[in-house]
Amino acid sequence: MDDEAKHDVSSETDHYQYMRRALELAQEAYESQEVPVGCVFVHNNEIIGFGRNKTNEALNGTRHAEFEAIDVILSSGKYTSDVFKECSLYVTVEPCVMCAYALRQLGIKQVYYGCANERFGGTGSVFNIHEDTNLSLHSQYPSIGGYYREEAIMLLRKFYVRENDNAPKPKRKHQRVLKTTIKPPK
Amino acid sequence: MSNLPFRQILSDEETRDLETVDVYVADIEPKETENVLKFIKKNLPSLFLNLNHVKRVRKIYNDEKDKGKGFTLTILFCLTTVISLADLQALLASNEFDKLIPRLRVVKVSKYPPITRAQFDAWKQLWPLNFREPKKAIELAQLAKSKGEIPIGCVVVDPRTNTILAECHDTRASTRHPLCHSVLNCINAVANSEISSRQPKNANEEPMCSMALVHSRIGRVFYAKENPNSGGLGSTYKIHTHSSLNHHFQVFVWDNIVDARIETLNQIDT
Repeated sequence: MDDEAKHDVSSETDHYQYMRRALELAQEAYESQEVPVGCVFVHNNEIIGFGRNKTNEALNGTRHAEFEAIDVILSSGKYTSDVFKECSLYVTVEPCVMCAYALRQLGIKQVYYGCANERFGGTGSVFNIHEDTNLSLHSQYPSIGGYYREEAIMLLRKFYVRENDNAPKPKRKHQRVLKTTIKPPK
Repeated sequence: MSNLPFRQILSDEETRDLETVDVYVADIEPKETENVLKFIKKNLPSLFLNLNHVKRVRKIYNDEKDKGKGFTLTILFCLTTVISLADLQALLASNEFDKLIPRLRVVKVSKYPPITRAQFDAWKQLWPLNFREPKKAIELAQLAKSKGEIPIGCVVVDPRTNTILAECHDTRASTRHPLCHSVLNCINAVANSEISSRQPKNANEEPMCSMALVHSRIGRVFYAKENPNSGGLGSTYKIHTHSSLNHHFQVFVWDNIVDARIETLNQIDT
């Protein structure tokens, strides 16, 4: 089997199926008072690791869904870090700069995300960490968004309309209403 | 920093002279140590507050050059301000430590933890103290290299107290985890100690760790060596100043300073 054929064993239906699992994890994060982002790593059509945002619980701003899942995979004892070269990541929100470069160091094969992250997205929205040729040490990877984009956005809106006692300066938000109209992607 | 044409303005904590507090102590036999420590733990738990820098037991050899000639052990009970001598004597008597009562005496110990080596050397003469000399980031990098790790080190400092919160080197080789960079190791160490992280620190950054520092709301970053291949704080990106990000911080690089120790560390790819 050549490389191209290997790349495309997952069908469009599979992409949505994996992203649904990532969304369930994002929902779990929401219910745990965390920023609702979830992800799964898929290797040969099998989910080998999953995670959701845990920054508040861990008191650690770097415990994003991707880092949680990466640590699950590497601490399982079943895989070396080489496995990521054959993995696709499905994450509900575009990876941030930190995660984007972490994924590049791991040599991730492909990233699929739900909605863009216009504040600090690292794979196209604000930075192009995934394909910047100046970052010459690690291979580039493709990153495609739009899978269950609206669901991912609505989860984030639900989170941010809710009062967050973990914020540095908690804001009272009782007058805010949840918007349900979503603009098309840029 | 001593190569710079500046004199550092040190904090009051770093320049202050010895100040002392009075504590109760008693000489004890080695075989008594365990029981006396149990007595202290049970009866004087909160009385040792604010003296974590002071060692509980002092051991003085009768002859430093010939340690076979025996030694004297002295144990520290608590500050004199928290219990009167009469009350401490009564407490000892009621716990069958009557024989310690005539040995009780008051000595002076350093009131504050030593911050500098000079303070430590001077103040420990009174009574032994705990002192953890900060390992500089470069020394951590050298240590990493000696262990076969990628030679990068990082130190996180709380500038308000000038204390070190975490000091880690890169551990990618030993952990076989490609993301165990010194900066992330430090962030995790600080988070695990449940201290909010808003401190300056030292290291060489790339985009992952640069953004990890944004997420951690770092105050200032000092680094020793630029990283032309992937540096996120000046070389490739300036993540610390990016307008769309929700936190910004200051970054300093050692300029015009040739530190031989850095040159011995290989070109680093992070």
